[in-house]
Amino acid sequence: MRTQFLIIVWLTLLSGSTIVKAEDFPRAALNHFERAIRPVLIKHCIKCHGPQRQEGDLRLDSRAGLMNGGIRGPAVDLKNADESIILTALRHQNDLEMPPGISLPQSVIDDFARWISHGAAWPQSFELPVDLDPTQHWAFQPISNPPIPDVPHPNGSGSSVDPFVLTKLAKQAIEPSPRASNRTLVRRVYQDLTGLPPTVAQLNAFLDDDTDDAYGTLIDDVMASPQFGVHWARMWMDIARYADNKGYIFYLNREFKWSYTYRDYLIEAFNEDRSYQQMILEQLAADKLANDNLRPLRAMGFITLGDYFVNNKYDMIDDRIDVITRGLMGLTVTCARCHDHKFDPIPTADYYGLYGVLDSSHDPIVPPLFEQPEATPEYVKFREQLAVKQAALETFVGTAISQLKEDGRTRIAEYLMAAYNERNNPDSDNFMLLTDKGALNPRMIRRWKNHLKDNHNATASLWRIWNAFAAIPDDSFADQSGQVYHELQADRDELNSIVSEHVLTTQPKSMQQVAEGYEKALLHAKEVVNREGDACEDPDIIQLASSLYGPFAPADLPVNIGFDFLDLFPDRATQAEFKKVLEDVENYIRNDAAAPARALVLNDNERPTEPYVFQRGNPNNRGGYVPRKFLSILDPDGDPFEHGSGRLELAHKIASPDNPLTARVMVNRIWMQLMGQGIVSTPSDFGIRGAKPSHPLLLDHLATDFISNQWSIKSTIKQILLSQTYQQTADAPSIPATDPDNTLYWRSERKRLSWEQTRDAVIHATGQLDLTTSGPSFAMKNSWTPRRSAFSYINRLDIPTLLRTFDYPSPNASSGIRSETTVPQQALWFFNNPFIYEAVHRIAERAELRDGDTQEHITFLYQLLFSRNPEQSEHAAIESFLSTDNSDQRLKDLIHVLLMSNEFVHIN
Amino acid sequence: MQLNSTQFDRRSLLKRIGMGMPALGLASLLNAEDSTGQNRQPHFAPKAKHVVHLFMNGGPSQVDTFDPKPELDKWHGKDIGNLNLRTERRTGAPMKSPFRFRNSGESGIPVSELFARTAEHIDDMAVIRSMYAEVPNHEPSLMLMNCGDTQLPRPSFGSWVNYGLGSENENLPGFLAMCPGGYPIVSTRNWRSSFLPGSYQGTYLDTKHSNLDKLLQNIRSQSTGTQRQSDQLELLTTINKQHLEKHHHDRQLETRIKSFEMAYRMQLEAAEAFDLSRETQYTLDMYGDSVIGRQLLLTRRLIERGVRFIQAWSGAGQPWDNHSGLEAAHRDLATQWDQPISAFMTDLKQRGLFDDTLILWGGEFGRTPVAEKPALNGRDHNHYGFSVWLAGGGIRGGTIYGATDDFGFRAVEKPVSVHDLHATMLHLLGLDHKRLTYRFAGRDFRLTDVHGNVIESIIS
Repeated sequence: MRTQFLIIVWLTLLSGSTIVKAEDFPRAALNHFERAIRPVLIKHCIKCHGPQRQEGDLRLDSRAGLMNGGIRGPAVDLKNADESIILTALRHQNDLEMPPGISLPQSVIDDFARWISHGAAWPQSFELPVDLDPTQHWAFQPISNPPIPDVPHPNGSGSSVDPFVLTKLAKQAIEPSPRASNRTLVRRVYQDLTGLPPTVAQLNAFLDDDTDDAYGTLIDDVMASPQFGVHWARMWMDIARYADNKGYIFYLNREFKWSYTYRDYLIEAFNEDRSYQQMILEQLAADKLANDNLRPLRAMGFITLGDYFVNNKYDMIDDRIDVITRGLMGLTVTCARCHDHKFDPIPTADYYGLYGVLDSSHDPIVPPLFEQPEATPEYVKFREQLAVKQAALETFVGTAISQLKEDGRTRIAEYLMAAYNERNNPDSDNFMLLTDKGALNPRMIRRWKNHLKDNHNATASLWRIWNAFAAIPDDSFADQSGQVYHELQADRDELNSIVSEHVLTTQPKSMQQVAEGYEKALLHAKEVVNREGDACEDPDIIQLASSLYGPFAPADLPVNIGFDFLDLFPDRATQAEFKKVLEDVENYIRNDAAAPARALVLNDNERPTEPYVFQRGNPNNRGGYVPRKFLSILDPDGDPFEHGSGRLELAHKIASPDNPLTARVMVNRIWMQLMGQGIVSTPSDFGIRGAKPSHPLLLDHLATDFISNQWSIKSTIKQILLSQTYQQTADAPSIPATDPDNTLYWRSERKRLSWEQTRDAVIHATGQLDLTTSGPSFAMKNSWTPRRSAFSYINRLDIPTLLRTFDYPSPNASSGIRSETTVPQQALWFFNNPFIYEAVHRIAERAELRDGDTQEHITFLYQLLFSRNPEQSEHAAIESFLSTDNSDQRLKDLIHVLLMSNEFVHIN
Repeated sequence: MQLNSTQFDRRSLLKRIGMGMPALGLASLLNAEDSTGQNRQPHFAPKAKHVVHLFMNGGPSQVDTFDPKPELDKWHGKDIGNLNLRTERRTGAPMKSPFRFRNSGESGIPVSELFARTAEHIDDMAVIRSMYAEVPNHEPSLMLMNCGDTQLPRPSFGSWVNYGLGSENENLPGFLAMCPGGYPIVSTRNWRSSFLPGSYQGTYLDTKHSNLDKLLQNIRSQSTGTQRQSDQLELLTTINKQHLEKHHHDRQLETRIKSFEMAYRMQLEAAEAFDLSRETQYTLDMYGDSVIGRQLLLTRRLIERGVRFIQAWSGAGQPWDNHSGLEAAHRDLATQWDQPISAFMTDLKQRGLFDDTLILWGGEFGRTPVAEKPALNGRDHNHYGFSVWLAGGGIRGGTIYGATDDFGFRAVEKPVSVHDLHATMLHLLGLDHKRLTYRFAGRDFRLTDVHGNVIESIIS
């Protein structure tokens, strides 16, 4: 007896299932699998070759995984069963030893051999054990509110962070380290909160404060500094893949021009301690928040400041989905662009649901103002002029597009034949095909081609005649068209009568003739609906007209002025005209003396996109329709978004206390910033392949408090800074063998200054650091510009070597963590860059170094650069250095050495 | 933000200290088990250790260089009916090559007069005539050739190789991109490291200059003399060591101390490496006194000193992009390259470096066999079929691989994708392109993504 089993792959959630492979397995073979194979796989293999880990890229939790294999090739070889790698591994041959260190009994190996020789039978569903069910992954579970353990800290009272840390340490019998010195702490707090070292005066103010709550006061004071916002905005700018330009986009203007307004927004928001929940809503959908205050519009730079990918819309949207999902929720959703996520429960349908949201929004050519400018005569004139220029642009675009649409509704036979001629060509040539003015439009051809094979809309039956003839191979038309013709004649009652009348009256001799028949039918319908309008009730006419005017009609193509336009009009003449009217507007709003700054927002399109899955990520290969909605794993019963693009609904889903990821991801980022390493060490990947939290209860405790404190970032920071865990010394008396890498926080992490902190500290030492906390970016050259580094211009097209050398992350994708390298090129910068020489010169000119003796100079420099006094041995070494040559130059050389020192660039 | 992982394994250690640094130089700093730098070892025995990519940016014409098509002579200027030999722009009739081809070497492979000197080495070269790319636009094709993807921000080939193999010389950057007169289009993206650590990105050299300070940033102090700098280093080391003792010999601090010592030495070594006046007149004459000649002589000096990956570009912008006036422009460009390439290969052979060095010559795509309207004296971009050649380490010389159609338009026989080319080159360096991975944003990325087949038959 045989039972049929089908291996079914769900292509999309909505379009239903497509059978890609059918296999018959005898019941006995399946029983053998159940009895002898499955238990072994679960017990010995799945842990390292399953959803959680894929050692050697191999998964053994599905037959596909087995057949695809890993880096050594397929795990089974059905033709030479005995040579299957899985058997080699079980037999511990050829350097393969699986399971590691365990020799399974010969009987088990024989079972596997038999199983493979019978075709490696596998049932339709392979139920994974509960602990491997991806929906049960820790990060998808609700945030808990764990009780605070009752463990006192030996260093004194701290914050609720400590008991969680101590509990873990106690299990390993590790003692926490002593508290760091006040001098160390003040430097640490200033750097961690503002990215700047303390001044000598700030240092002394804390050292002289002997009140009980001196440390708490210090935290409050430093958090109140406007420099706090600058430092935390810079942290966030890594996540937002901030840059000041769009990358290469042919002849279009590459500058964002107002990118800095996003940075200004961030600095203000962090300084005001705006609720993180509100910050998310503003960054995703400020344009849709009912609010008289326009200033939050600047927040949308979070989405809009990404790369333009040479104007490839699909890649831009992918990047936008990435910054939203990885940046805010630590989920790698873009893995599902081409196939269901391999590890996390994210199907492609989820990706394209979000794709629909982003594709339903556009970046307006004239972005909105965020402050009402004063109505000076200059501004009034500017506004009037702008209106004229905008009108010219709109007229040009409007005319061109209506011409294009009209073409799509009249040159029907031509388009049909073009679509027919390309019907068997894959649309793999995804590039702009330049045309002559007046030629058929390549995009319209593609739309006709899709329309003809579209099975999802009301006009599908209209094209039955066409598709029947088109299915005949080119050279067999004469032979086979007769039979097709007769079959269609027999079904004539089911066909659109007007089409039948024009196409089936006589047997067509060629596709050209069929196309012409369709053209006549459609033009007839066009004339009727134009005449009768809504009064027309003939269903055949309405069906025909919907191929011309309906929401899926080829000619009814959605239009976003902007880069989309180039693709729509690939003839150089129209592009040149477009460029002229476009630049006229763009240059004016950017460069006119009276032009105000604008917010780089997204706006909803007039008509939202109804998204389809793109199979294997290829936009020319449409799969099933999906609604715009939130991720299914986080919102299994959620409804599709209803309001416009759905961006605001999406923002609410993310910024929700019920979202298990958002708060956890943010408190982990804050923790990482302050503690040097994350509770989850993969801060932008909380999925199954991400790291597990070192302190899951602490993470939940922080997230719970974060939410109940109205998502206050400053509260979470203070909670962490007040802990004894934070206040420990980085130099523990001894290193516990069980945790040499300090994953349990038995000491403080020594941190190296980031590139921005390093450069700012150097300028800070001159006493001339420009503390302005807003405004446009400055170009960081070798010349002296004492602005804080967070304001430097980031050129996405040409990231300065200097920045990359100092581990500045690539601004082409959201970055949650910077790598930390130590390379000689960094040292060369310290040795030889003119910027350092300029700083040394300026430090040497400080009043404190003009008077007094050498001893005093050395003491001053140590306080200035290291926040401490020099020790006797240090005095000696330095005095010996200075004694060989008593010149000013020698003092400068000394300052230069101190700036290069390890102590200057590390926070203990 | 620091890079720490909960499991502080060897890989993360190497990441922390910067794999741009040589394992050798760090051996004294690290525990024995950490100093091996296991992931920097090739996967199997390599046939080459260095890569030199001679990048003919703009796209040289295959039918005028390494892929002769007599059919074009027959059809020159004639109507070819519906036969589609166009890519992006409107084109007219087929255009015969204005250059003569000559069968060269023992293998008798035909090479155009443009590369007559290069052809002296044809028996050591493998010409792939069936390359194809994805689109006929420069920007995405440059990205594909350099970074393995037309659009997405992926690391460049040179970064991957340095990530996989590390540097052989602690005192020089492992990946240099030389382009005289400025950047090629899409500029530094061509040699970016993307999500790989910044130390793997290519270091750009404007080889229009011969002055060291203009070639390499921060390589020399403008004001501090050697003696002063040596005094500074001594004091720096003293106070850093005092600091180190106070802080329990933190490895991170030790590594940075070492990096200053290396940087100090690097200044001396670089000055020496970039100083072409140390070459004999014979060698200088062999390369010729030109920008490209200097560029390739410098390439040899750097290869000799262990630099892993060098890209030598034709020039700023896209010099080979000859939509019109192709005959004169191609002749001019080839003249710039032909003698230096030949000298370079001769020089490598004389110094025993040829077998360690994998040379790739080619553009981001080729050109159409049909000429462009209205002038009919130039060719459009063509990604459907083009030629590259490889020589040196592990290459089976005197080989022709694959073929285009009768007109030289489309690769029809044994087509080779750019991913195949990358896979093959990695293979020659001892790296399995499927195993050279880096995890970012939850995925293990590869240079070849999900593609790539090694072309065994061009390997010796």
